[in-house]
Amino acid sequence: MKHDLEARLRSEARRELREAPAGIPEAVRARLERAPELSARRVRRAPFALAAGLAAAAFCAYTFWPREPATVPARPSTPALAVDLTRRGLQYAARMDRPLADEWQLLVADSLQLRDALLGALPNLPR
Amino acid sequence: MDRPLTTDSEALAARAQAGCRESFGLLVERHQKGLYNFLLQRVRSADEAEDLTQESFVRAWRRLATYRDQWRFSTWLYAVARSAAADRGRERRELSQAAHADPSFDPDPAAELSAREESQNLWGLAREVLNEDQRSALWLFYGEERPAAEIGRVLGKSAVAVRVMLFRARAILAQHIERKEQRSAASALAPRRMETLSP
Repeated sequence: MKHDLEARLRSEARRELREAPAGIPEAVRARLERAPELSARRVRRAPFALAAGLAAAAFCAYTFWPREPATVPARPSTPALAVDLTRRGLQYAARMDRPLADEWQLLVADSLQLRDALLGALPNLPR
Repeated sequence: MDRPLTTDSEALAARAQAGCRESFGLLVERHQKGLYNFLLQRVRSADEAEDLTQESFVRAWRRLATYRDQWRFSTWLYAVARSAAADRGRERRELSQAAHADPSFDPDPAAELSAREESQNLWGLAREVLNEDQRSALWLFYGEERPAAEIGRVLGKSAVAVRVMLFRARAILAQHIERKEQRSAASALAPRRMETLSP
């Protein structure tokens, strides 16, 4: 049965075979001419264009990718430094066995000198 | 570019890949008949097969860069044609769904009649009872005598899957032939019964 069917399929396939309608090559040529030029050669350059594109994308990603800002050791600002030094000075003065008023005077003078050195003179304060 | 010498399709394809349209023209002339017959097994009408043949060649030209010569050019071309036919089938199904939704839809009686006449021969029956891939596999195997591996390449399946598909297609065909033979035997007996019953 199987061989009968196979033989029939083969023989009827030969009868089934038809000639292609006339004009297919011309029609294909016309359709290709109507379509924009898509030559195979141009398409073959794609792998190189792809590689170049990937390299450019990698470079841009490396250059412009947002990064964590570098950790810089925190340094106090100049006014904060002045305040801190004043506070330390007050603590030191509080431990000294001398009248506070003198130490206070010295301390304020030192602080003002320090501030003048760092930020410039304060015009409205008494010297 | 020089006029291409008549040579095998794979060499012509290589020249066409380099931009030689004349070589591609030779390929069209050489493969139009095979491709047209392959497509006739996938679509319902000769007009559609002709249009799809042209469409497949245009697609083949556009995708020529993807052709690698480890396969025969015709195998690759048939795979391109199969994809074009599948796209067309999808469009047709969408259209026919829309048409069936229309209450005034009436199938073409001439087409139905020709389909009935077609089923008298084996390939006509195959068009009626097998699906597109089964018909293509059957055609490529028996009509073009291609090996299962090549058919698999065209249909996007393994060689084993193609063999299974061929086996099933043959079984379905055999089943339908048997049924038809039983029906025709029964209809041949019916008048005789009527004669014996009549006084």
